[in-house]
Amino acid sequence: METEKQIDRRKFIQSASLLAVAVPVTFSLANCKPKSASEPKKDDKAKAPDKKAETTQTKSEPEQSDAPEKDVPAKGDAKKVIDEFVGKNPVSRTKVKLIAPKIAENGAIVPVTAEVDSPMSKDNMIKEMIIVIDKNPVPLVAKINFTPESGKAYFSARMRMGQTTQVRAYAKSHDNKIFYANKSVKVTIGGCG
Amino acid sequence: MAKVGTVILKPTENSVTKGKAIKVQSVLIHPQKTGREKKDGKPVKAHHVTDIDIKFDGKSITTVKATAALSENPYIAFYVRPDKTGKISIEWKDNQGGSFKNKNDLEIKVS
Repeated sequence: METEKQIDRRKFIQSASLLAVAVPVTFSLANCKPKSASEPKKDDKAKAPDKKAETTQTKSEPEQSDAPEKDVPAKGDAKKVIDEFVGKNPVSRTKVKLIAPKIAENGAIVPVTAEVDSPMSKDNMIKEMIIVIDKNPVPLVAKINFTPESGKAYFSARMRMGQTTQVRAYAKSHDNKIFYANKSVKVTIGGCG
Repeated sequence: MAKVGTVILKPTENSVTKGKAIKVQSVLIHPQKTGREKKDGKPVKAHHVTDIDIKFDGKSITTVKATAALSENPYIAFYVRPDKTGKISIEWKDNQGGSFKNKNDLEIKVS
């Protein structure tokens, strides 16, 4: 993954530098030189691919930030933990807000915050929440039990991550409905000793 | 470096209007060994937090069961919504029988 992205970056930088060179050249050509049949056409050709590159870049950036996280199914130990918590209850990908960095430089301290939208009254509350990190040796990070006095179904902690993987938060309401959110975090240096 | 077992507990506010929740932060000075680390070829014994109990006036409000995946010197943040003025406290327990409490319970005034 890293090498691919690096290559992408290189391509991006190369295209950007080409663009930077090409644009002033074309402008200067257009401004200074008298109109001739052949030259402007060349310029247009030179411009055209650069423009394409620009548009693709501008398109790809918002996709990364705005697109909702893909739901990647859990495997192995993480799946066991999740299945045990969820049971046969219905799962919906709403209400849970999971905040974690896209890229964590140090896997030993990854700040993760999970918050569930709930009034936390006696009749309508979140009673349990688990946080799972898929590829950790022990996927279950924490299991939190709430009461109405908690006021907000909120938990934030700094966690260890062994490698690039999914962080998941599952919350269980008083009537056993499950709410869920996930986020992929890229780890550059693992933190599992 | 603070001593192992030192607990820091800090509500973001000391007084609150009834019905509103306030954020509380806590840190425990703890090595949080996973049991997978090796020192001079020998595995280091696992030593990590297993239970966190947040109490208000002696009554458990939020309890957390944790594993070694919490980072070294674990930091947590949570919310409390007290009905009346009272004292907040936190207790951390680890897998080697250690139990750590904050020294002075902090009063939260409810108006």
